[in-house]
Amino acid sequence: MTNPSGLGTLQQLALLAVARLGREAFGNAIRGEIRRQTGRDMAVSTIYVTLVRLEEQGLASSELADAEPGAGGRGKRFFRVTPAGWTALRTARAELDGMWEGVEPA
Amino acid sequence: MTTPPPARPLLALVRALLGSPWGEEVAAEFEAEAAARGAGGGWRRLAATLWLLRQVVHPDTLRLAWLVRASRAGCRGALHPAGTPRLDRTPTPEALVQDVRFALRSLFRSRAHAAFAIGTLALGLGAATSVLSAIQSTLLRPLPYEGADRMVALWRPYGAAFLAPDPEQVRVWREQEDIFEQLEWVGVRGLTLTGVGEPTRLTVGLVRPSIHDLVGRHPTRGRTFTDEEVRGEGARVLLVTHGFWRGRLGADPGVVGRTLTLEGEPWTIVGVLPRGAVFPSAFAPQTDAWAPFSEAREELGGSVVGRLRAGVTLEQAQARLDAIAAGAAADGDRQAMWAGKALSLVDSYGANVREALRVLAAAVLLLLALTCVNVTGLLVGRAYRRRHEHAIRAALGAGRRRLVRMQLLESLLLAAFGAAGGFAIALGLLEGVSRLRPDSLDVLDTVRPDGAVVAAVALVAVLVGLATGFLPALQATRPGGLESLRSGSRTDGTGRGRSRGRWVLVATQVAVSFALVVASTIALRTLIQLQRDEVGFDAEGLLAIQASLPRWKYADEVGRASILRRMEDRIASLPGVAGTTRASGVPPTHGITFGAVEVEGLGPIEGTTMFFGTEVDASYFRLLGQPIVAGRGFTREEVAEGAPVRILGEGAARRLFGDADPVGRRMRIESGTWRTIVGVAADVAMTGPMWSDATLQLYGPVAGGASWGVFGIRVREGASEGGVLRRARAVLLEEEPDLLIEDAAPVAALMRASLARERFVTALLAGFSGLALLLAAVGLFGVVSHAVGERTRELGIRLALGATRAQVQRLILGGGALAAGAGVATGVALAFGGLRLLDSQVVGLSDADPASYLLSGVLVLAVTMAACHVPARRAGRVDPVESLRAE
Repeated sequence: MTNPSGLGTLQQLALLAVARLGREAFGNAIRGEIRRQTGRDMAVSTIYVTLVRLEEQGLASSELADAEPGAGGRGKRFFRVTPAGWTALRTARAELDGMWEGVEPA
Repeated sequence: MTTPPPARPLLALVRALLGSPWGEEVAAEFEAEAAARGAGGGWRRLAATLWLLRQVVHPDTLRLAWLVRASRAGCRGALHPAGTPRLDRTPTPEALVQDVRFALRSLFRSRAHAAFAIGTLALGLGAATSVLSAIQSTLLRPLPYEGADRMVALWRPYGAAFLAPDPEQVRVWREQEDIFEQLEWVGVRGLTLTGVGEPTRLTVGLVRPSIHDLVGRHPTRGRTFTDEEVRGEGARVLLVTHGFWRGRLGADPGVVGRTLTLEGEPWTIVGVLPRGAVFPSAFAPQTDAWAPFSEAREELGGSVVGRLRAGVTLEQAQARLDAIAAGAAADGDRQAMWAGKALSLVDSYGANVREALRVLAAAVLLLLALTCVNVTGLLVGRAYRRRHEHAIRAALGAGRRRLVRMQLLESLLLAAFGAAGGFAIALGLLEGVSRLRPDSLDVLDTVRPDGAVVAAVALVAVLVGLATGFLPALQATRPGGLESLRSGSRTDGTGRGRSRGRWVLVATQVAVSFALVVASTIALRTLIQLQRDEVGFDAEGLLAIQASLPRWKYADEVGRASILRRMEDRIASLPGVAGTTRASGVPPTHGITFGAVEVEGLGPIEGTTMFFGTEVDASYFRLLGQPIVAGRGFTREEVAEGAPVRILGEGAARRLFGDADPVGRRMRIESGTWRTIVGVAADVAMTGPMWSDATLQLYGPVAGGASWGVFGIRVREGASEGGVLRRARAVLLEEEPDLLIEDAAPVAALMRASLARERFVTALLAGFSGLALLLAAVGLFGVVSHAVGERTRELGIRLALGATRAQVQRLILGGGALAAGAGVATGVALAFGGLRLLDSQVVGLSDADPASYLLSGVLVLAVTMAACHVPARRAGRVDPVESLRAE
């Protein structure tokens, strides 16, 4: 699970989903995005565990948005990739790309 | 979109687990997703509930709870990137797994003890699961419709009765669009189906095409009715239900367009209803087919069902109906014509089982409480025995929290195993119930534990686990624990006072189980007595066949009379038949006549009198073996002419005439024709709860030209009842292939069947009292065992000082006997008062019956003393040297 970039697969997926979604990156949307792109259906709490861990490591940050009138009055928590998160993502990608070089199957 | 009801406690659990603000947030996500998955109702809602359950019990939920709590506690960065914990205060998932493994090992080490606790929990939770399932599917969700909780039935109240609403009234109700989303006329008809196998009676629901919007189910084949088919008298078209199509019509794929003969007329099948299209009326949810509710039918009456607008309460709807009635009265119309009553449709379902289910729910709560008490007792005893182990653990650095957590984990695991066992027990129990149940409670056949019940029982199991683990957990961390390690003694002198509470609890259990045992003993005795009762006639070898002539073939009375006579003659000449008669009913199915009675020369009798009885042929009393105690029976001429004559039952004669001779006197009912009393017949037993007090019996001559009646057949000694019944049916159908034959059975079997409800309640009571007694025995066993363990040192001293083993055993048994005796004594009072509550369910339950009390007392004492015997023997085997040796 641990590699030099410090990111697990799940963490990478979650960070990338957050990045792809931009201002729309909240829990269910992140889960939906991962399902759409990879077909993985993950438990709600798995996503949250990943996000909370990312936040603790300073790779993502979150803020509570104002309550919307239509969403049952509850505030939603939006996630964002921090600069450290971007660095970790890039490192992970560079590592993988490096490793993939030369082994690309025909 | 609504969240399925069982979701609420689950979401609350998530909120509590995660705390603010994460709890709300994650719960909101769960809720949104569950609502999206559950949209469309039915199976989807169930699937959504199961999805939610899976999500909540997902290991990551626990992980998340730990994470967010740790971060809230200001321990940011409490984790290494890979997730290794630095906190001691909150368990990491890894530590939890370790604890679970440890708890499992520890339970496995004391297998007998664990099996005992799991068995007890399985019994309690099994009973809870079955009763919860029954309540869920009969009281909470009997209608598989979207918005079923807003469905109502509207009636016109008249005194205590409910009448069909007036069409004009319904038009006005329909205009209240802010209250009612939809209102529908519905009705029920019984129609005789001929031409497909033997004639049978179909229950046909009458509906308008818009009914499909109300129930949300559309035909799977063919089409529904057109508005045209509802006009005037209505077209003869049918929608058949899924069950009828599969059963009677053999799942015929070309069924649409097929013609069925109902009441001699051709009806065309235009469509097939899907499974689960329950007819929305409390009277006949089980229909075979639906037919148009014609405009002409409105005048004849029906009932009105509908759905309230979202957010409108039943009280608001009722207030509007009242306002309409008041307005009409102000306009000079009769208010009674305009009065309306709104009833919840869900409430009307299962009304016949509601009372019984309430009693059962109370009994189950009691059982569950007893279960908790017992298991707590067992675990406290175990924690007491393990106090050295706990002290050592504490000394080695295990924190209080860890000790508490381990104890709670053990009890939670026990509860989980217990719940699994309970679920298996419940499945078996429900299977048994649907075999035992009386016909009138067919609603019980649909009872199966669904996702919601599983979730609820899981929650209950968690609560039980926490509740039973609480006391032992406290004990495990008692500061005195270390003391015990130091002194090494097995008794620390504090045990006696603490265990007094347990003795009281155990005595209470004995009391409750005694009351239940008394209840089931009385119920059983009543049942046996009802079955053995002198019925007043010779039911052995007596058969009854109830038959209806096809009305469309026999328009005139003369024709009906002649075919019935021919049928009776042919049955009479069958081999094995000793005699026949004809009547409008035989016991236990009697007719009822009620009204104000007037006896010539005595004037009117106060109040309305209800008579049970039938119209009978001249041969009736002789055939049934029912003695005529005064006067004579009817003559053939009297029956043929329909003469104004009556025969009274003995009880009725006494009631109306006292000791005077009623023969030759005249009486009339509701100012009808004066009829002469020609004789008095012995009373017959009419079993069943409704009939038990019916001692007033009245007989008249049977009308020759009735289209409906019962053939009574006396079977010759030695002949087979089944064979005669079969041949008689064949002969009847040979005479008239369209004859509708219902209830063809030996009279003794019909009498037995009329007691089905009593038998059912008795079986349930017996089951519960057995369970309660078992639990009480288990509880007593636990307490006495515990006492023996606590007093080992004292017992050793006694033995060392010269007490015999028998004396020591008596000492222990004496303690148990005291608790059991106190329990029985309290139980007598409890049974005496409490059984009145059950009186509506079982006849005669509140009667003081010394024999039943005595019998129950002996049984309860025998079982409880047997439970004390094992630990008492152990006490007798205590080795004084061993018990006094310092550890």
